[in-house]
Amino acid sequence: MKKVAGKVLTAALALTFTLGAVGCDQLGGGSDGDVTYISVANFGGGVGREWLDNAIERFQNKVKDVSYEAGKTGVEFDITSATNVTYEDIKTSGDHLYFVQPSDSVRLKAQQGLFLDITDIVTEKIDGENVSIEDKIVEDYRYAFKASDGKYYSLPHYELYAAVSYDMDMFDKYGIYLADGTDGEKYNCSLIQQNVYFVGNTQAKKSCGNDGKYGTMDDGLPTTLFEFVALCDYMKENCGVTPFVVAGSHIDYTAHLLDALWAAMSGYESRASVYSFDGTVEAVKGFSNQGLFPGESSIKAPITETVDVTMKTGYDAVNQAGRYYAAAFLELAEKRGWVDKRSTQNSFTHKDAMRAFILNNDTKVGMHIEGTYWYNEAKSYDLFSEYQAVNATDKMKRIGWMHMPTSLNTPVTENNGREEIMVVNHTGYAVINGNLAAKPGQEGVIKACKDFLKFLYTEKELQEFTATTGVVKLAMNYKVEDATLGRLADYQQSVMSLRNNNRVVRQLAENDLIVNNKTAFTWSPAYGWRPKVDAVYDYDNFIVAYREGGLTAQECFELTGYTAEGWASRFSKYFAN
Amino acid sequence: MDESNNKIGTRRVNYRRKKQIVFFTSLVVLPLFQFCIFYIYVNINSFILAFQEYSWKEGVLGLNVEFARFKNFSEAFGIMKAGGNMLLNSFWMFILSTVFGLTLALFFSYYIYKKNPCSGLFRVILFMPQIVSSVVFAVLYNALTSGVYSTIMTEIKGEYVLGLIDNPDTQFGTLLFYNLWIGFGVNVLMFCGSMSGIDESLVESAHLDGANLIQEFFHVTIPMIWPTFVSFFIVGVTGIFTNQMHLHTLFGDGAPSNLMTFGYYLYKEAGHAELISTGVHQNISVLSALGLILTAIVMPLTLGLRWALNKYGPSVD
Repeated sequence: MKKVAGKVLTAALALTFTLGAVGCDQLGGGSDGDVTYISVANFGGGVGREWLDNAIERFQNKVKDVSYEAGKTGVEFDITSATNVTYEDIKTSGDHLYFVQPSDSVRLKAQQGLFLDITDIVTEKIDGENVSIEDKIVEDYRYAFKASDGKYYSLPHYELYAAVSYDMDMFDKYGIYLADGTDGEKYNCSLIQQNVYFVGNTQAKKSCGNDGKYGTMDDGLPTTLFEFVALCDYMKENCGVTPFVVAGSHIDYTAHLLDALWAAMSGYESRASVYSFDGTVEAVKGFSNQGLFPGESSIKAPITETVDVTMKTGYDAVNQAGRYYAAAFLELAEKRGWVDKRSTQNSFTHKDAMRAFILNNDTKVGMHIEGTYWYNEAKSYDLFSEYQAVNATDKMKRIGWMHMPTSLNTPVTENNGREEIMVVNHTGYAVINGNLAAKPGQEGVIKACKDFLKFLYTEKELQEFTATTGVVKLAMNYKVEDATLGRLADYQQSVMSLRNNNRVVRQLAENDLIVNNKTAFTWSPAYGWRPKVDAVYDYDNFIVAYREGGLTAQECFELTGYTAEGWASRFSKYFAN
Repeated sequence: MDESNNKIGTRRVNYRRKKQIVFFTSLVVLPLFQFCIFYIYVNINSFILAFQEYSWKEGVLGLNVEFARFKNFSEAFGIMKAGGNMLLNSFWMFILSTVFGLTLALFFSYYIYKKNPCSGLFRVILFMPQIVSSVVFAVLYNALTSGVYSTIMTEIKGEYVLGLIDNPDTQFGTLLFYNLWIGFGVNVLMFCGSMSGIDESLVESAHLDGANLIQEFFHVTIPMIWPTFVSFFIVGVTGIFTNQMHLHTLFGDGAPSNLMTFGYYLYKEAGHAELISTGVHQNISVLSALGLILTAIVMPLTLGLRWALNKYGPSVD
């Protein structure tokens, strides 16, 4: 009996060992069944997977009678969708298609031969349309999807913008809008040593906002940094509303505020000059002893000079005043307690921050700092349903895009609007696993993957993608139709409206310096706003440097910028003497 | 007759021996195969990478590979020079969690081994972190020492109080406690197992000679389980520069710089490293060189300590 039991146990153990082989490379494609099988790895954050599920259903219907492999008809998809999906395992994974949000250079991965050459589907005309996918990609950015051999290895998936959102209900409740002229409630803001007029409890007309027109979505919102300071001060001191909430477990999300402020304060040419090395910037050349904000002398005013940018003087573009103003505002926010205290808690997740902002029923917060993708994520977490249940209403929570100031202290007047540019700080890419080409008998699977990708970039599918996700494809020229806009939530419509009426800076440029040092010129939660103390240590974000390191905005600005000597020593090989 | 019996006997022995060899081989082949791939091949590859430098190829796919001589090692030494704090944290964490933790585990194991009051309860409390998923445990611990602690203390004190894991003054202690608690169960389990293997007659003999519990612990128990203790200690030493002390589980990529250990730094950088430096994170070749340097430090230390502990530690004799 013991012998038999021993043998059975041994066999069971041996079987357990072999179970590991189940996880081995399944890049054999297809299935043993009668359909072609495609495995998809989808980054589950940001735009989620609903768009993918819907697109797959339509595609399956379209190709249900198509035979990609001998003896098989139609396609089946197996999707892995999670926030930890990357293409780092592409060499050995069994996945055929990837929709990922890489934090590094896609071109570098393409250069290593990890992705399949998809030039054929990118350059040929799309069925039923007179254009190719390539025609739809903004010409200046086509290089980003190619490798050094000039062929296409990836396709644009999505672009997400740095953003701050505001609680329209909370703002309406307390009248936290700038009044037009001197109507409204007078508020003496000691930080800027000016009287500022808010709507408050009065019926005063709202100011015109950045677009210089009354009756639009940006009415009553600040057009100068000083007005923004006054608004936050008024919100906190007068209304008892904490201006900002952000995730403590992802305090690097404060980069969205910094990115958005920098872009809006600088304007398109200046912000884009960081990549194009062309244009004029207001460069910081030093710091004075005077305070930037009259009532807060510890945050120093910069000494600036208007200069022309070239690749040789690209450091001026990085050291532009708009970037410092963003850093200075954040330092002021931290000093004045404008950032919700829960952001100091490591356990306060991005979901907690969203819930605190949406429900807004215990600690009052006015604005939420996270990129435009947060709305989709909040929907997937059922937070809006929770809001409706808690408040016994079927009305949607009113959330708006918080328009950023576009000048230091010169307000916009009627009909003299200023452009409020947006900056892309998260991007997604679609690729096919390069291993497919190396394995025999995969032609059918390759064809199916390519057909699916082509399908996703038809005009109809582009509209469906935007309608489902509320975001647009990266660097692609396609008009978001009114019918598509009509399917979006108010917040998403406000984002689209801003995108349609203002220019967008994408942190890309086709010159060797940028191409070969992409992450060094990317400002996002993952890069750029991380003051490096030495070769090893960097702070997660400026706000962490303020809190834990006792650094100032000036120090953080300088640590993340370049001196002329540092620029030359690092990048001189890219420009002639 | 005898000769044929001998032949039959020899054949039976050979057959049994072959069966044993087949059985042994079938058990060992997979772990050996994994060892060859995940240790030997990986380390050879790491060694080669440490001497390589990659650059872009123009006009075609692929990357240029050049012999980098000691350039990567030079950068790696720069990291070590700048990472003084990480070095300190790595050693402190080792001393406190391995030395201190192992010692405490010994006493707790002895207490449980002697079936003293509540030993069953201690066994459950100490083993529970091993039963619950470590990620779940980390999330719970994070929530308790961050938001929960902050909320309760803020209510009590009437002013905002940072969580234990959020406050720079208490972060280190909070992290250390977590590591001690998480590692306790395994240590206690192994020591209890070793102690149960001590011959009862030895213990009785010690008692007959008048040894009390403390004397039994130092003169009988410790010498008998010394090889187990040495194994655990040496494993701790080998992990000085690779143990990230659960920093990534608790903080993700955003662990405070004052807590960073070399293990965490390597883990974090390896997750973002590329063949060509991005200027933001280290490249793979520099990290490989760093790994070799750290191996060169830890290997003689490990072998030396092992020799010393075996030579000068208490022996069964």
